[in-house]
Amino acid sequence: MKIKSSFYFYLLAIPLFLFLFTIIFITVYLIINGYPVLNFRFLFSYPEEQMTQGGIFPAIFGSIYLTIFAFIFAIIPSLLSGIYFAYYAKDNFLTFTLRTLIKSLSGLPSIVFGLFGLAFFVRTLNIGLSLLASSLTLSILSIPPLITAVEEGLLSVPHTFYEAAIALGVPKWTAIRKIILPESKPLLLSGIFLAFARLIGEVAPILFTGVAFYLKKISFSPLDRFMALPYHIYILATQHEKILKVRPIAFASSLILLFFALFFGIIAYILRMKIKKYY
Amino acid sequence: MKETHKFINFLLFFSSLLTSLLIIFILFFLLSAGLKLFKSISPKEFFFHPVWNPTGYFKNEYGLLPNLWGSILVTFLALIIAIPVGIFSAIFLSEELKKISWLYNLVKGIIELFAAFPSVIIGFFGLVYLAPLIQNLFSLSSGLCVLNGGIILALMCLPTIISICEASISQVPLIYKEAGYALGVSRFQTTLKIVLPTAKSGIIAGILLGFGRAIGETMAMLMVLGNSPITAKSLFSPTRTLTTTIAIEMGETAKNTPHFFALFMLGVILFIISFIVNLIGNYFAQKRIKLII
Amino acid sequence: MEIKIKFENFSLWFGEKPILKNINLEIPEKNVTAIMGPSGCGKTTLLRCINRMNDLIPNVKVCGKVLIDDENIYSENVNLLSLRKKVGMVFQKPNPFPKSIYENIAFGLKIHKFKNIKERVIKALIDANLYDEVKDNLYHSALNLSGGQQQRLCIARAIAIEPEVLLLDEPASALDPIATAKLEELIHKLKKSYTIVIVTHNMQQAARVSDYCAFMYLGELVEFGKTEDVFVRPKDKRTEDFLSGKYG
Repeated sequence: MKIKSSFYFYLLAIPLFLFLFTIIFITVYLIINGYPVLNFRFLFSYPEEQMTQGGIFPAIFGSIYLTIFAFIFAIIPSLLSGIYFAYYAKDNFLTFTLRTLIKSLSGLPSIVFGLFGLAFFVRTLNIGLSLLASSLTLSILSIPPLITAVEEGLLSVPHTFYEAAIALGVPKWTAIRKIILPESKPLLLSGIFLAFARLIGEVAPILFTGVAFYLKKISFSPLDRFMALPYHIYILATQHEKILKVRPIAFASSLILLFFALFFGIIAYILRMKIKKYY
Repeated sequence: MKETHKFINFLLFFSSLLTSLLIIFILFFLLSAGLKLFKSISPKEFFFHPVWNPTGYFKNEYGLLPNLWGSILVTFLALIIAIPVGIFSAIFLSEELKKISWLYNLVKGIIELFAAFPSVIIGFFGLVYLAPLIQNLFSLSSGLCVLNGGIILALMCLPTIISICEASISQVPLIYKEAGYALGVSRFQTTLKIVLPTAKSGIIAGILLGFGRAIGETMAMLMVLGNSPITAKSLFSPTRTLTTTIAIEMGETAKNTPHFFALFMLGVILFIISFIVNLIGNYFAQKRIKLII
Repeated sequence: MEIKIKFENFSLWFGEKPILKNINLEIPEKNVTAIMGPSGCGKTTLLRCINRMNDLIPNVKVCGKVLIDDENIYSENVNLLSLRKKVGMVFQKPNPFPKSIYENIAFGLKIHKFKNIKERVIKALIDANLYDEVKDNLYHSALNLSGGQQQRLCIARAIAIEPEVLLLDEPASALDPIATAKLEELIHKLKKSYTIVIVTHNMQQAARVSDYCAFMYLGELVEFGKTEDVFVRPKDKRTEDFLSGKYG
């Protein structure tokens, strides 16, 4: 009887195996086609000859710079709100409403954030097409998952630590900051790295807010436009006039982007696995 | 001390209030641009005119329907593939593979990591691998079509569907299953007849949230759908969606033209669809938790 | 005999559910007072009123007074932080912070701006009969200690900030008999300096460690008196039933 059930379960899993195979196939396909083009020069030099030669340095630089800025804008409100929901919010209708709104925010399509960024940051605030406008737009997109990460992290720490601190006459805020927050680090960092993984691959929110097709020179000023790796891939793959000639570069760029996303994703996964057991 | 406490309390609440108001803020800005469209054309034309041709020679036409149709077509195709795969996978993961914990963790890890794949990369794969494959297989002039988009989108919403369905199936209490075993029903039968109906809310939540994820996908669709403005009539015709129309045309249009406003209006429609779907999805997700506890 | 803590017509509800019903109780200074009763009788809730830990639970309503040194701790202008500094607490399960042994004790001292932290940490460990066992690894994680050691560390943590009252909420329930004996020995020693209130459902323990003894049943205070009186000549039928094991 038992063997028979297991057999049916495995039968059911055939599409799952296909799915897993596809995931691995995509990865291997990119590695095989992208790896031959990769070298040190590719990573650290500018595109040449209408992008058919040279490297992708400005795109890598722009993506990292953009991610850092977006993270800086997102982390403070995420921390405050996460702490609020975990330790301060009362269980009432107001809290329910706030939570529902934030959850809905996380479900919005990323292109909607792009439109908002264009209407609000670029035009209403008149920041103009820039890294600043793009990173502000991206930061909004990453706030909801970061709030969840903060809240989950805080709630993963046993409540008894909090009680012990409160019973010692420690102010609530100090107890959270000194005892609970440090202990929630693994889940918190995991959420942050997951946010990085997502941020570095996003295109739709930066499409109308500042990403550039090609720049002669990188700029450190957040008020300038920037190149970004995923957008660069999109251009190379679909918009370039010599599309087959740049394909090797598109493969290599995809491989680099995938490397970044997986690097952050794997760190997030490992941290999640490392959650402590206390007692 | 009490003052500090009050200040912190206020600061935390204020931050949460602001972040939750962001979504209303976003809707406000989309609407304030989008509604200006109706100075040039009537709402009736936008909602019911069957042609989207913003750069026509004689007349500019801003019909929502071709875009909406493309979005719905591709999303439904994706869900037709992803729902059975997702539910079967969730059942297998929680009811069978969990017994081999290292393998279970590995598979879950791979799926979780796939969720972190940038959408341009999956789109790129659809463009350079899947498109020629479909083209040769069905002798088409191009493999950039609804079918390609549906497959790519199915891949992209599978992690969401699998993880939410699996979580809800795992939460079905053991006593429910034991009741089945005690009646001499096999483990597989118990899963189908008892576990699945119990986990229904969570599965619905997974499907709805997967739908929400799919309808909002932009970059991958931009790369694999062929972006034709015509209304797709078969799996093999190119099409465009709400998201791809916005993404392509926003860069080309002049500011404050009817075209510009029409694109914002498409954004409003996208906002409303995903907001409602997510709201219902989250309702079912919550219901699942309440049911069990 | 000085009265340290006094409950006056004190009632408490969780939402609509009454948990404590019109409690009147006088707890004497520098003695051990045990609160016993079957589970669910409200004894832990009563204990947690003395340092207002119940405030952490949503929807708690109270009525009546709890006085410490003749000051109502449920009045509007009470400073909860200094109340909790004055009334230390040790929980059912040992809950040292996931920090070093030293940091566990130093944490409260720093918050309350004590000086000579190092000496105070060592003194607290000595007072809690723990110093000899941990003196060589003060900077190791407290989570590596045994359950009994962890519980004594929690006591050291509580007494380091010089409280006047010590609340013990079934402190031995997670411990083995030897660790329990050490703990009870410690309680005996500490009562010279602190007013101790201990909650226990174990009546032998109540008999061993306490000078005074309260028996609670279904949210009511049924009986209170000197421990030997309560045990030898219970006045109330319910107390007698409990002592003879009828409630399990």
